[in-house]
Amino acid sequence: MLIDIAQNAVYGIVSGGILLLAAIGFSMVYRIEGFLNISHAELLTVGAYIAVLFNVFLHLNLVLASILSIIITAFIGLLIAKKLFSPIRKFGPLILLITSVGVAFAMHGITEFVAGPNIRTYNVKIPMAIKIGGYPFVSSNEIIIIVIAICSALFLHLVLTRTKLGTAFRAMASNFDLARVKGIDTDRMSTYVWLYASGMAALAGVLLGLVTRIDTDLGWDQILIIMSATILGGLGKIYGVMVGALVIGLAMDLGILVLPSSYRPAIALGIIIVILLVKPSGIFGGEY
Amino acid sequence: MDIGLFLAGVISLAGIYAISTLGYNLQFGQTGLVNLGYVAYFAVGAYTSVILTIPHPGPHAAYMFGFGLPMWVGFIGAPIAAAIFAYLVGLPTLRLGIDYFVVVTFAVGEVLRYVLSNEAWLTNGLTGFHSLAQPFRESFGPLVYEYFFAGLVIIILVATYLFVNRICRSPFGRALKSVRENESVCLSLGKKVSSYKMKSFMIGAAVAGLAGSLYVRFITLARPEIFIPAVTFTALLSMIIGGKGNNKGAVLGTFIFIFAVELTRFFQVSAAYAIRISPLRTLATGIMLIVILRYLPQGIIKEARVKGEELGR
Amino acid sequence: MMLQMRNVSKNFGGLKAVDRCSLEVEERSITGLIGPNGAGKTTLFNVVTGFLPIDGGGVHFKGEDITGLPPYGIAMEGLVRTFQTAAGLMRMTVLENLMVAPQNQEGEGVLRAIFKTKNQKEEQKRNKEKALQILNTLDLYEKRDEWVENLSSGEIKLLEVGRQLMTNPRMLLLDEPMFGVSPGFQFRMLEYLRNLRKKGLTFFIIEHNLSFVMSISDIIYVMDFGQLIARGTPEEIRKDEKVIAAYLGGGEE
Repeated sequence: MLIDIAQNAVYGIVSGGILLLAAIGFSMVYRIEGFLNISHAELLTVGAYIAVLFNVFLHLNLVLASILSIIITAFIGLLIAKKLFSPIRKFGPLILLITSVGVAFAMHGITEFVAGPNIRTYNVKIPMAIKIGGYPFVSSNEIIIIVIAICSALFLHLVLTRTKLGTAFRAMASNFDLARVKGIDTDRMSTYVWLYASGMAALAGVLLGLVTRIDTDLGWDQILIIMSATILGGLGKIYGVMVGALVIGLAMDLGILVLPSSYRPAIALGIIIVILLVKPSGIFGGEY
Repeated sequence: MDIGLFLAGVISLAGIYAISTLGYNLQFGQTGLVNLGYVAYFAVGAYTSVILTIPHPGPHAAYMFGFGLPMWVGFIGAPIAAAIFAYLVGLPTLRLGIDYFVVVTFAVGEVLRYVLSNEAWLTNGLTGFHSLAQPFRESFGPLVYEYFFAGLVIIILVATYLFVNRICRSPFGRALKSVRENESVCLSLGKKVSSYKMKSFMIGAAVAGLAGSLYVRFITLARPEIFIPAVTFTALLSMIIGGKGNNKGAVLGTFIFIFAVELTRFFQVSAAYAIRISPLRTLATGIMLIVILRYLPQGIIKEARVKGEELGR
Repeated sequence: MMLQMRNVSKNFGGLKAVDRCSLEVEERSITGLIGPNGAGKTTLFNVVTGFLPIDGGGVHFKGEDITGLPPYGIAMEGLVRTFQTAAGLMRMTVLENLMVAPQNQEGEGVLRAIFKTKNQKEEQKRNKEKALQILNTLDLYEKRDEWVENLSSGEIKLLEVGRQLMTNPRMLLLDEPMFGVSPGFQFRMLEYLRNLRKKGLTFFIIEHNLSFVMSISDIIYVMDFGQLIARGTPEEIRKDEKVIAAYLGGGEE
């Protein structure tokens, strides 16, 4: 019994880690661009499939394939932002939101058309199971995912606090117009945010593809959970989102010890419904 | 393939969705409530009408309830149940800001689907209910019935249109518009904004419930996999094509959208190609949404200016 | 006494935006509220009209305690406010803006809306006549079928006052009626308010345009840093040292 809890806790941390990568980008875009980008989740699918392309069809090792996927997806995300979202910024966040729904549809259609209905998996060594006390406790894949998530969070933290870029971002996040007046190139920052968010989404997609099957709904299935993590941490609050993602991940995977497993995503949604009723601003106060 | 039958089917489908869009337009176009989980009320209506009318389950059935009531009870119970559900959802959520409201309504839609899939004692789970009875089915032969059903849908659509339109043109409808435009101003005029929002939300949900109850009679099937976000997005897209805040537009936009989608079925040449058409349809839907919002955000029929002569009549 | 405030306070975190303000507005008077930027004038309005929760003190209107009532409740008592930034109902016509305003209309209940009664029709007719009259006075009759978003900001501000009047208020709280309004419109607004005052309406007006306030007010209150620092007739205020100091000393945020 204890072993189940421990194992599921590990799954939860893994889920939380992947969610963190996906949700941070979503949150940053919300903060800087001001709207909920429903199509963000599709970038996970795109990222996973591009990695499949390089890894399964072009026989590159998964690490290289992932890096290529991150870079390519980052630019895809940027292209979409510049061509589809930027021109209509003046229409307001609601129009942007609905447009992002259209973008999600379009991306889903393209991915489905190109990739076909077959379920894919990566060409990668079967992960080793790490045993504790004779029970398989965690796999090497999962350890890698957790490490990547932690590194990514640390990296972001360092960028935000130690670099000029990070300071500029925090200024923009806090007061967009004031930042612009103070000479921060908001267009360039916007570009970096889109690149980073899309790249991280791709990474999340690839990692997700390691622990679940890769099909065209990979990303779309996550969109509400991503939004849940973002809201839990406080819409637009970067550090809050990191914690929110972890909490949601753990809640989902520990929750299914008690509830039927098909309710897993519903747990995340249930949490968010409760949070919104009790404290809509999320569990964190403060700026970021 | 008989063109007439095909058209009858498309008209039935479009008509049912048009009813749903009218309800969506009341919430979104008229009152400014962005409900991304509209499918939930569609589903509540659908399942209510089914559970009220199917015969009592046998001893081996997974589900527990079937009341065997006449079909018209189902059609009346559906919007009522949907409105009650909307009341429960709206009570804590209508006061939230737009972004939060969007997410929470979306979440409600999906959670409901999970509940429908899992709580077999009520809904028979993933299997759902099949071979549902259809209104007046016995009175017609199988081919003629298609035409009858289309006619029935049109009649209900017209009635719904008149109902919703009447509401929108009344002082109540005007108050809803003022809630959409500026809640603070609305409050400063002495209007209880929360109450207007709730009423709009409930009426819109009731209309969705009616549409849902018709839909399951159309396809004679009620399963959770039907009640996905695509239903909400169909209403959303139809409303946008036709023109937000505009009842004629809601109907027109729905017919345009559904006809366009259904006509693509003609392009399915062989089974091998069939698989590839569906994603293209999704793609086309997305492109349509993106393009219209950018170049024609008011939709095909602009929101009509209520001219002075019409007021006070 | 139409409106009475006793020790009204409002805090934002540690900041005392409104600090124990007590004031009175007499019936049928025009009372002005002036003060440097950031003095807390609009916050005071917001608290009194229920748009912000009050942190201390009480408000009485027509002798009754309205402290803590929700904004729509206070408006229904007859205490109606306008907003500093042009608050028109944009995607509605000018005439619609006025027609939506009267309180407790017969057609505003759902069932009544569906079953149009004779009373409802007559009420709408009456409201329409009143609305057209107001539009005439405001010189906006020609634009009655225009989208409000197509009006100039001066026209919108005039419209806003007219609209609030449709509610038959006992007292109007105007938050900077001259803000963002061109001089031509300022004159029209001044004339309009003077006429309304003749008809017996009570006004409480926040305004930065000092010449306007001085020329129209019976009594003027002055606020600075959340506190009331002076009260008097325009002449008295003009000469009041504290007031002069507050404005010169710079009450900028």
